[in-house]
Amino acid sequence: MGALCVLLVSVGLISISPKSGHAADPGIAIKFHVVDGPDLKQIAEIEDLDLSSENDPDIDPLEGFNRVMFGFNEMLDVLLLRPAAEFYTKVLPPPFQRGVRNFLRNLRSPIILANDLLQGEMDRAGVTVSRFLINSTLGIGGFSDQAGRMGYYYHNEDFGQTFAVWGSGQGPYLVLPVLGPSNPRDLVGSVVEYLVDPVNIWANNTDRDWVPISRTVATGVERRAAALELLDEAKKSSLDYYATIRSLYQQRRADEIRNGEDAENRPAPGFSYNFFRSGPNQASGEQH
Amino acid sequence: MMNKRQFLVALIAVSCLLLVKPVAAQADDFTDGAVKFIETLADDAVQSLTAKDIEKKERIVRFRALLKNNFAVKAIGRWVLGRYWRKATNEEKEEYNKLFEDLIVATYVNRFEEFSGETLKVVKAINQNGKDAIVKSEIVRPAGQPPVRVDWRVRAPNGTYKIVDVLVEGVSMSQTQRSEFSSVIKREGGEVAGLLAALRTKTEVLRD
Repeated sequence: MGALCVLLVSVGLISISPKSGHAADPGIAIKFHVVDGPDLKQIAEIEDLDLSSENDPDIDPLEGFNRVMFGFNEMLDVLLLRPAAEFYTKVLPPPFQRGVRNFLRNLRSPIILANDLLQGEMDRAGVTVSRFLINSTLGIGGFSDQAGRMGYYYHNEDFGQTFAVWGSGQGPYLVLPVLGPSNPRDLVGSVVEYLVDPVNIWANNTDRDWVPISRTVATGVERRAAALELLDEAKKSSLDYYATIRSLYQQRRADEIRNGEDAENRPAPGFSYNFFRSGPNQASGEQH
Repeated sequence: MMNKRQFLVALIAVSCLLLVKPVAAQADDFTDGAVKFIETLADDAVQSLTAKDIEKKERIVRFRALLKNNFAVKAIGRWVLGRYWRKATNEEKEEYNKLFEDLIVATYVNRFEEFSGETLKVVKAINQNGKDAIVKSEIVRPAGQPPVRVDWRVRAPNGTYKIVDVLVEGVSMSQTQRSEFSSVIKREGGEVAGLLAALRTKTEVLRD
């Protein structure tokens, strides 16, 4: 009877393994396909490309205006901003660059905190408060990110994100002169931020115009410097730089608004069609 | 003592259990396999592509092989072309498949040269409808800096894992490419031929 059991078990396993689909031991399966290579032609066969369900994120009613502004900004970038950013990275040693970034980020803490709270993100609000207290003291006025070393990582929030969380749509994609990619929602957010920022209010009340101006310039140069490689690479490899930037901006904003969490029913890139229509092993691709 | 019939019933019950259990655990097998797949791929990539002393030609050959083995390149290319796929003639489709692969190779191959020992850490894997697995990973950065999030959308047709999309900090590579291609085609009056011409020049420029 013992032998019968063993026989039954093995028969059972054999009958199961094709149904379990993704191979009983994926490690073996991987090794196997690396060596042999799958039949890609077969895998890529699609017969029912259903594009009716496609959602098009590239709606851009202001494209004409936007492209003109984009071209203008590109000119400014090539002539002014990029050289400034490059100069900045070459002249200032990396530790000092980090110092500048940390200082500017720390200065934004009240705005980040306000938006954490307005979105009901209490945990993140706690992180923002901790960061501000630690970095303003231990971090010598915000220049050193001691809080980050303790695991309180920086996160960005702004009023545009808060409006989105409250349910506001973004409106059409909008390229602003000098300021770059935006949309009506984020533009309003930027204006609100400028008006309620404690540092700006203090500077305005004490006639220190140079404070918001130098802060804006420093922020612009620092951010451009941080994006030097990314943008150079994007410009080099893209077929339509404008479209690439539009897509990057919109996807990044969507991710920021979700605070990096997964969207439950995120449609793009859906791959909702059946790419892998194949013959006899169809069942193995369909798991439920 | 069991009689024959009871024995038979017991046998059926046991075999049913055997049949049911792996099916219930199936989802985990799928995601576990996806995690192993990504981890193996990351190791393979580091081993075969990041050495500083390989010639560019050799690096290209190796990267192309890795790409073909682990990514559903044609399926991605098709999705990226979107509604224009149907408009394309067979010759255009064929050339597009080739150029799309070339573009990926040309765009990413140099990045492995700049590799400086970053590590990829898989955080978790999510099963989406049993069809897609999202393998969430992080690239670890120096102390104080949050890790970079990289999500791999993986499928396993016929039990062989394939990547269909990579998302870096929420930005989908496929989606970005799709937006770009559709913009180029629109600019070229809705002609796929216009995109192919642009791809031809782009892949040549990137090669030297």
